[in-house]
Amino acid sequence: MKIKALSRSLDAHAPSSSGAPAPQSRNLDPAQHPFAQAREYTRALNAVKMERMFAKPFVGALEGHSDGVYVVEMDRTRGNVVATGAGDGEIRLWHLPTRSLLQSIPKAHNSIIQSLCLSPLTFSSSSSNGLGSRRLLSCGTDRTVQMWDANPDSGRIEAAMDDDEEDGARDEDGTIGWLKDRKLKRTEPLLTWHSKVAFNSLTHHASSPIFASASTSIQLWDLSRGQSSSSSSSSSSSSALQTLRWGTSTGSSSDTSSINVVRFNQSEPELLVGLGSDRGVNLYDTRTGGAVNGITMSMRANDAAWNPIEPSVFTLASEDQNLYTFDIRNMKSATQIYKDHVSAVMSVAYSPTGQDLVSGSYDRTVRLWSVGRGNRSRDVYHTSRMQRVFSTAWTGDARFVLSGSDDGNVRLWKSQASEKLGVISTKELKAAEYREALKKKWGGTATTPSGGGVGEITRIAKQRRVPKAIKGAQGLKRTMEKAQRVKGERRRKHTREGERKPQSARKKAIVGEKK
Amino acid sequence: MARGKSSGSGGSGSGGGGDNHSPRNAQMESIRSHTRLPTSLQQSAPLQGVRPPKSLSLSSIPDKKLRSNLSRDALSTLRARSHATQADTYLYQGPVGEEAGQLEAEGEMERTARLTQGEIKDAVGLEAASKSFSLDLSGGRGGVGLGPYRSAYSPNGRQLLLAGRAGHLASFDWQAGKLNCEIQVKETVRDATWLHNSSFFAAAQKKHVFIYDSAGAEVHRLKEHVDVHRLEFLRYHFLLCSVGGGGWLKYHDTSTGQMVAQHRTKLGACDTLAQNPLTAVLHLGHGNGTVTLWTPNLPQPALSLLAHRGPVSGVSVSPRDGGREMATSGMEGGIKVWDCRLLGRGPVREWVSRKPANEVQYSQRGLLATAWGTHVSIYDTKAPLSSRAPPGPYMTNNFPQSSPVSLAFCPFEDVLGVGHSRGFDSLLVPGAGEPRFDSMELDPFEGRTARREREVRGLLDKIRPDMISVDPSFLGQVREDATKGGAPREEAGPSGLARAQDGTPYARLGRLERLRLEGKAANDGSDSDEEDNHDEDSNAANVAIPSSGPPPPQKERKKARGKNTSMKRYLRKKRGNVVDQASMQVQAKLQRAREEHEERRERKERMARGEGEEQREPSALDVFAVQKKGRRRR
Repeated sequence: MKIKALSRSLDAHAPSSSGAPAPQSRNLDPAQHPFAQAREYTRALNAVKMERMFAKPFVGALEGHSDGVYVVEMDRTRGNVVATGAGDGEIRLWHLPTRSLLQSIPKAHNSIIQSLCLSPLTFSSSSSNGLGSRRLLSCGTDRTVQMWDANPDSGRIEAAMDDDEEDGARDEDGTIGWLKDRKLKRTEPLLTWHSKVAFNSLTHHASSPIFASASTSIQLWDLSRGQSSSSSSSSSSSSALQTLRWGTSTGSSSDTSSINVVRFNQSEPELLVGLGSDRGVNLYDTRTGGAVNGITMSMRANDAAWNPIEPSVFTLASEDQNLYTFDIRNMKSATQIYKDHVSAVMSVAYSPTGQDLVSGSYDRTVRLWSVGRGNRSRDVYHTSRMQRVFSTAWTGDARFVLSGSDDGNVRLWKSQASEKLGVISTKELKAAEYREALKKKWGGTATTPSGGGVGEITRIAKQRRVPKAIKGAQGLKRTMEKAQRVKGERRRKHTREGERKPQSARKKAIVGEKK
Repeated sequence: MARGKSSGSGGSGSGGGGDNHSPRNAQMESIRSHTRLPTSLQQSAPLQGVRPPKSLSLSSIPDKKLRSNLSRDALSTLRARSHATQADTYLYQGPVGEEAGQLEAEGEMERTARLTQGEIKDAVGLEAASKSFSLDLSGGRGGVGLGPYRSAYSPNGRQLLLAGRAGHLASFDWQAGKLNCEIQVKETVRDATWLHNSSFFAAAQKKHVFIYDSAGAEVHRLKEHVDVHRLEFLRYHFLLCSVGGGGWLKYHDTSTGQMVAQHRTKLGACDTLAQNPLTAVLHLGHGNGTVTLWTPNLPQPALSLLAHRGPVSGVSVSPRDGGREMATSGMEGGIKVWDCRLLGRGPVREWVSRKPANEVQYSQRGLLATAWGTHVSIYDTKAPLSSRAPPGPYMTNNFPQSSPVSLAFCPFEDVLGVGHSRGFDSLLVPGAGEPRFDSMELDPFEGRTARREREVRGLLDKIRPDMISVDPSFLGQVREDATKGGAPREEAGPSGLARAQDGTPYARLGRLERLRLEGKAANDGSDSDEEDNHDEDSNAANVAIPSSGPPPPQKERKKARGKNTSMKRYLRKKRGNVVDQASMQVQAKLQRAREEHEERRERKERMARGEGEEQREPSALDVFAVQKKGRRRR
């Protein structure tokens, strides 16, 4: 007879010494893990509830502008400096980690700041001329483009911070004390470019010292050939290097309308997109000196952003409350529509990873989108005091979003609303990653109406409280869209078969194609 | 792989040019298996030759994204399963010498059941032998015992709880021999159970259920539970379940103190309660021989089964095989083993014990212990049956002058705790316990910190009571009606709502049409003869499953249709699983009426077709037909 009974020795299971971790025994037999599915679902449910509980996206506001902020521009090379331009012609430079003001240029223009542009190039700096190595370009409706010394270099920032901590003394206009002695110097432009028409937009070439401006046409300028403010002679040559028009022929019909926005492609550096007030979206190539492609949309576009990862893709913020993503290789149809705003979208920006979008709208909200998942926004940010949002930007680490609005504040938001800031232990990080994986598994990623999730998870994850006005506008929009749909259906029902086919939404917004 | 191939052909220099069947490639194939990345590094690599399951539910999903997501999930499940199997086999084997126990006869003449505890103790090591002991709590010669005793082991098997009928409650670490508490509650104690860990236990006393902490201090009196006979704790749901004299089954959440559900069984006093450890469904055995399955979210049993002709005295569900195997014992003496998927087919095995069994209990590895008379017998229900003879017991043990009333297998040990009228006995049952525990789930060797951690994690992972279901695999499955019948993609509107057949969107439909689409209103001409179908499958008459499909049960209309409607209604109102004289008579009567009706109809049809009765040649065999009919009528 074979007899053997299970016996356990304490040596194998007790910790080797006091304080040592207890030895772990594992058994992956499903019978040893009852309700594995149900428990995992519960964990996923808890994870998604925790996400909503800890969703506190607002980090802080950069206060100080006395008029609405219409431009927010991140410095691409430094990643922690942002330039903002207000309606009263003031330009400010901010240091993001400390959320403090670096420099203020009051009355930079005699009008609203239309556009700002921080040059990615490094300029020669020396202590003799007292200039830093960065340059800022600004334009306004006062028909000038001006170049400014965009900041003290990093050593001086630190000095400024130390100063700030020591005495905390600031002037009434918000500039830090040490700037005071050169204030006069700093509030004068280094170079100026003049034109006969107002400038609407500026954009800098990815690598060359060239920038483009948008007015009635798109013009390219040499960065070094502006008028110096010290030399009083206004006759020094500051004419455009190149003027890009539709079809290269001067005096075409597109001259009558103006171009609102121009954006250089940063990966394909000779390519430009220009948005006209004639609802046109045109692509220009500096090498051919003309437009290569173009479409006309049903409503005008307010802003455009190139995808930093996919050079052929850009996204438009349209007046018709949607965002449209296009691939320049086929402009007949948008590749993606993002619809959730209830008023005109005023600005759009891609995250440096190319995975996310942020848009600011006239409906006083900022929305975040996952690229390729249209239909519904990933998140919506609003506060009771935030007014129309005219500009948005991402920080260089893709973790934060900036929004400039009509109320004169620049707001800093987290891009993941429930992300924990500060130092995170490995254990915490692991737990967060596990929660993410659970949400991905049980929350579903499909774009189906039910969300593809299990049980309540999708509903909880999607739930957002929006202001009453937006809630009402959403209802109204839904009603109107339904009415349109019903009307279309009825029309089709009473026309000859195949005569009036329903048009896809991705093509509907495109009225015509120029070629 | 591709690189290996090219370098191989380059090195050969034969210039044999791309022939896949050349011997050199065969050589390459033979090498490749040895030069492959170790499987542990191939987490993301697709499995060789594994394709997503071609089940109908996946291929009929119209949404492309969803379909690809699901098929990718299915593949990764397969991959994870194969990795888990390998890890379990090669990585997670327990310490040497901790293999499962066994008892094996080595000759034709040997019987494992003839072994006594003494012989087993002599054969095993000192450490294992010390686990077989006997506690004499009879009060000595002439003393008054406080028994009979019921016993319960804590989930990790370290703590033992003893509850004497006369009010004696004791809990101790039985391996270390350390007493936690011993109290005398001075009233009847009918049952006791541990809660989620060894820091609390509940006792069903004379009137109410009480909760005590590990030091024996009374923590709660649960006054909602009255006259409770049996207690069961669902540890993943934190539900304390009780059933007793009134026949009320109550679910009490011990983490929040809320009463979750109270079900009236309507079958009288009940003192047989068991849980399915893998689905948390409660199995109740009743006085009329039925076994009912309960979940908190159904006010009626999820399933009822006429298991025995006498009162059911014991129910247990095996934790092996996905909780499919159930054993029941009845006071008529039968012991039956059921496959819960095929209850309608009758028991898988059944045998009659010499005396009716008081209790049946499954061990972790699927051994079945039965307490009958003064004996405890243990069976291996998986042992192959050579003939129709009842399976011989795997082990058996006698307790002279006392009758065992409670059986409890100790988790992760080869030990069976037997509570009887004279005290408690711990028996060695080789092969009963799971040798490898998972420290992430339950750990017999856990310290105080680990226990606290586990308690918090358990509370965070508490499963909602309404997720208990007879089929727990519904979670995470693709809903069939969403993929097939319901609303195809073309017909569903943008909001996912169904459309009418002429394409009118849901929003513009009338109320009745909407209800019809949702399946809440009857379609026209759908009054099928459901009750007739129900009567016909009399084979499964002893199993009644309330339908829970999409069409909800309609209210019965009183329709005067033909004769015998009152009898049909009587049968319908009467539960199908209760078999008594009256309903059987009514059923027989109905059957006869139906047959006569059928016969008459056939004759009528024949007449209509023109072939009269006289067309058929009268035969000498007709006499048998008449006789047969007559016999059926009787």
